Amino acid sequence: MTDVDFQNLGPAVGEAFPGVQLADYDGSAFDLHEDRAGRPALVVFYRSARW
Amino acid sequence: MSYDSVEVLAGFAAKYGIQYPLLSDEGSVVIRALGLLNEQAAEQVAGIPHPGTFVLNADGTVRSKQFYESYRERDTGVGVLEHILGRSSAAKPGPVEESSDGVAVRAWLDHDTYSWGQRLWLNVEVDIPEGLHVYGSPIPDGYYPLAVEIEPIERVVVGEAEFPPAVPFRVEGLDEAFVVYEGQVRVSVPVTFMVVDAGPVELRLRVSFQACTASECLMPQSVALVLSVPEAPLVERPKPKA
Repeated sequence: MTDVDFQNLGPAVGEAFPGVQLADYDGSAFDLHEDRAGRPALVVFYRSARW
Repeated sequence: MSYDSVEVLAGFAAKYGIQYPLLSDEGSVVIRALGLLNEQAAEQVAGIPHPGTFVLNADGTVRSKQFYESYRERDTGVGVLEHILGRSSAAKPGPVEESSDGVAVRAWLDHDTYSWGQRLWLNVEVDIPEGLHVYGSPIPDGYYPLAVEIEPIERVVVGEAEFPPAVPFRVEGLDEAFVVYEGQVRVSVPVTFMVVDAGPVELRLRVSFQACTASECLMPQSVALVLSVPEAPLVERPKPKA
């Protein structure tokens, strides 16, 4: 791969993680900050669940 | 979070019994907005993010993050708990142990098998008897710090070892500054297995140290350990092309 700085992708450590509203796998609406209800969270970005 | 449709995620969740949210970012809107889009992925794979993980604090700020150059690299569940979430795990699968000069050294990996691209953590625990200490790094020339070496294996990538902080120590009559360990010390080394269909891998490691009392040092020692790690097959995935 080339000149992507893998240590600096996305929001920085210490910054507020932006709000995310997306559909969960059962089709229900999911709001990251609301639904984690004051708990810490692990947010994983991956390629695909299909291939 | 991935760019898959809800239907794809529903199928995946049902097949693997997934209990946590799987978010559908169809069109990669969030992936792009967060600056995580893999710009080099084209055509049918366009829209994938760089693979990685954020840990969020309770207040929604980013506590830590870890991104990988390749989606093939990934941590184990225990690796995430210990090294990304910072929680210690009691799991010590299949430890091997040796000792020298009363200093016991045991080693284990955080997972009892490897599969292609998995990052396992090699943990080395050193028990130093009371009245003895071993040197840490940095160290003046001519002395031997606690060190862990792994014999190189092709396509097994050994990362930088993580040592706990050592304690400053003065030796009577010497100007040099030392740092030392006492009691129990755990060193962790990330080991990424970029091998496939290779069968069991033997990790051969050497742990070296110099043990000293308050007044004298013993000869530098090293302890050799071998960990045999079986390969776990990939789950219903086509074999990667070499």
